Amino acid sequence: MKKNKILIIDDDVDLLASTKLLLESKNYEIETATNSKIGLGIIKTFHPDLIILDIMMDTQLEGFNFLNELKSADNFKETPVIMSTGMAKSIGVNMRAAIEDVDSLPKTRFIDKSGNWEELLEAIKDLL
Amino acid sequence: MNLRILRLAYWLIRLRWFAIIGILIAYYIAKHLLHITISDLPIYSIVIFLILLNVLSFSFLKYLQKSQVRKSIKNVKRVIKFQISTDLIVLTVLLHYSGGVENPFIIYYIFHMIIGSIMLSTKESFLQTSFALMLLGSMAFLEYSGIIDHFPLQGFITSNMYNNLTYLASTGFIFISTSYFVVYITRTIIKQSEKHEAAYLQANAKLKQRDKVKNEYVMRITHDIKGHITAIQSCISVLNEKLAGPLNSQQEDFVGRAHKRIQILNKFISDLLSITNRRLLLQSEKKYFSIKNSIDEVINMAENSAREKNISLIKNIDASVENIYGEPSSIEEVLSNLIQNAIKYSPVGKLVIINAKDQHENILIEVIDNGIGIPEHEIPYIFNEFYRASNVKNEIKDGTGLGLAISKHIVEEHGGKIWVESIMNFGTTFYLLLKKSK
Repeated sequence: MKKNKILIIDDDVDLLASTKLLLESKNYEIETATNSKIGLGIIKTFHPDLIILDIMMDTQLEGFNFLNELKSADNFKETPVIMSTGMAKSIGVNMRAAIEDVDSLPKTRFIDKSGNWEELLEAIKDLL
Repeated sequence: MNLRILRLAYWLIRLRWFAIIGILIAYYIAKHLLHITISDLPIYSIVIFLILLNVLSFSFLKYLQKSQVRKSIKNVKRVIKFQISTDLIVLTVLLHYSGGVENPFIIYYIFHMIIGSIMLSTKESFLQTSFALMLLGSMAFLEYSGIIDHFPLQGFITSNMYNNLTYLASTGFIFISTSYFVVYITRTIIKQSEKHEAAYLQANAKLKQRDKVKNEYVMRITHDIKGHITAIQSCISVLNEKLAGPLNSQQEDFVGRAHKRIQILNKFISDLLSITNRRLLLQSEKKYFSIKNSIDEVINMAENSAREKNISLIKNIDASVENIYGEPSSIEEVLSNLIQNAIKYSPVGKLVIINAKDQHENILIEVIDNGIGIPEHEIPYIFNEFYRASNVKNEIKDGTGLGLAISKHIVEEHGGKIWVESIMNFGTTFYLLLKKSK
């Protein structure tokens, strides 16, 4: 059976390493990138089925900007994206609503980066 | 400051009602008990005039309050000045028809001067005082010189003092000096109090600003800590789930302990971030949403933890319970806090009941458990930040003491109420009263 491919973009290498191991154990093929620029390069060759994207990396909104770029490109518009952040609750409802409700960003999920894997695994299952 | 002017303007109107009653009482006593001769018509005319003045001033103020703010403040000041001047004229006319300078009520000019000094600037206060003295002086002079009639208070004062020059001169001197002195003292006191008020407001604004800076600081630090904690939790999870190979039983035990503690710490930090953010974030996105759906969703999410303890979640939602106005995810956070607490603090196999009742303008939600209860003397503190009741602190370690504080903050921000009733070792009921509309 063909493995689903997931790209994780996060500037925390420890989180990347552990999440990679977890998802590989659940039978996903994983690539990682520490910023959106590297991520974009990988997307073109790796063609992920799903992307896990940290919102705050070098800049506060790097993840958002990358998401917009992705969703406006015809090739990747349909690729599901899980936006993860340590500030899910604190980011406020406005941004969450903007992502979840707006039709221009289909298949986008917002989760709290808590180190709690169950939520992440569930979100992946839902979107794939 | 602007509000102060408006309050003073209304206060002046209230004072005038008392003055009207005072005039009528004084008139009655003078005429019927002391048998002093006073002509009725001027008194009644003045009383009617004052009533009209009050009604008009009141309506005009109400009208100004509704209109544009900046313009209206100026107009409120005008209304006050007009009222004070009119009052002085009315007092003079009233005195003229009731004995002139022989009427002991001439002392009431001083009241007007004090009221004026409270409401007006120093310059305006002295001007009003001069105006009052001019009115009184003119009346005394015109009556003295016979240009206008003198209406004596027959039966009260026998000798004619209104045309006694020595009396007029000495009373005049005392009156004038007292008037200006009273205005000077009143203005000094008022200026001091205004200075204090300004200092207080400034200090208050400064405190608010500092509090904001502090909250932002807490938020930044907490967020940075959370990044590290999350990575640690994720790495420990790798060991805990044995993704990096098998562990011997002792290793497994300690990794398990570390994993549990880091989960608690992470939850604590999330709560701290949430409450700090709620303090910083002033606006939230409120709308009409189905509270029934929210309750269902939160109960669904709690099913797992309830099943682990063999606890049944029972809900009774009135058929008419539907939409309320608020921020859905915040309200769901409150419901989740209450229901998860009820499960956490209940012994295995008990019931947790969630009722939602339609109460006209409000929805009352009850979360009832048969848990360990809260000691009575600790009930007033359980909504305080970081407070954990003594009986749970020892038994259940994974509480942050922030859940109820966050809940209270959210509920109050929504104009609702949250309270609790509890009997030790019998159970606890949390009540949540939420407004249906804005």
